[in-house]
Amino acid sequence: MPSLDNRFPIYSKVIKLFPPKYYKEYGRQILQTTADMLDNAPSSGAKLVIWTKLAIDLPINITKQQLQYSGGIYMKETPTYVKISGILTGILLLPFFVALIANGLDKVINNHTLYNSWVWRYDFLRVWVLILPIIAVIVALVSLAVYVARSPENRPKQLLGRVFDIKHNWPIVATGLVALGILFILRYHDSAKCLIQIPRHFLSHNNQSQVCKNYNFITNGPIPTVPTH
Amino acid sequence: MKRTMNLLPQISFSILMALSLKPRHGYEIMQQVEDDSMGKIKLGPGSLYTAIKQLKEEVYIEEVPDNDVRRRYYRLTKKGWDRLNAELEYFDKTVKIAKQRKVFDAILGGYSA
Repeated sequence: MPSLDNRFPIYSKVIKLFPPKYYKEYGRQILQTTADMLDNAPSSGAKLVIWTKLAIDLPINITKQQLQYSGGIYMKETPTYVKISGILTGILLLPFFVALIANGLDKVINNHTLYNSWVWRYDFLRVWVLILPIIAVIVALVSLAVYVARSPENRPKQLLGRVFDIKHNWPIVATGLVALGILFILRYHDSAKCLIQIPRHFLSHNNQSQVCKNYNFITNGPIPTVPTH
Repeated sequence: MKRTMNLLPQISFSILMALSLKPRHGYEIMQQVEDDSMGKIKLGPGSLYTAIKQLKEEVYIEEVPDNDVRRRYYRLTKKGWDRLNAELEYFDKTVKIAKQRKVFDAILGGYSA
């Protein structure tokens, strides 16, 4: 009797798309059950129905298991402080995305943007594009440092291996990278002149901060009077 | 205070029911589930073992040592029996309430409230 792998060469390879742990536990059983189904099929038409059913059943369950293993099992092994830091960092970045989405919706619905509204005024803008992302980066970096220093025994032994142990520390790495991305974009944005330099100027050149407070970051000019709609 | 109980998904419940008769392997479970549901639940191997994995993690079922080297047999654990009992009690009570309210009569009489 041929082995199941020889009998179903393609199918047995598709089953390997299940997460390795799941495949090790249930891969052979799935193959055997499929073989039993086909052996008991009364006709070639019934076999065709079985293969059609498998073509739907397998992709759904492979996706389900992959999601469960990447998001579930690895999350179970992720320390609580990493999860909390990831959520906290995400919350810190939320105002940035909310403001961007609000701006986009304003453009789509009302055909104008929130530029020059209070969302884009310096004092508020500085909080959501600069201060909150900086705090987010700090929180992510501190958490990552703690993770690297206190990594459990079953994690990579090399320092770099623990830094890039993405399976377990992804909540802080992902949100930290997003925060860094925001700051990186900001560095090259026309508003960076005021936003980044202001803390320094605020201490030494108070007039400069006043200029920036009334600065339109988009047009590189003074803020015009906002017409009422 | 009584704890609330989330009902098992239909497939998981059907597997527990199938294993209440005797220990079975994957294909036997599939056949029994199909028979019990009068052909309404037709499991594929992917769905079957996804549910089996979940039930094993919850310790509702366990593997049974068997001479069949190619197939694994599963049976209910004590926790699995308790869970099946709780589910059936719930359904039993629901049916009793439905009878008291003459829900079945209403359905047979064409839903006239």
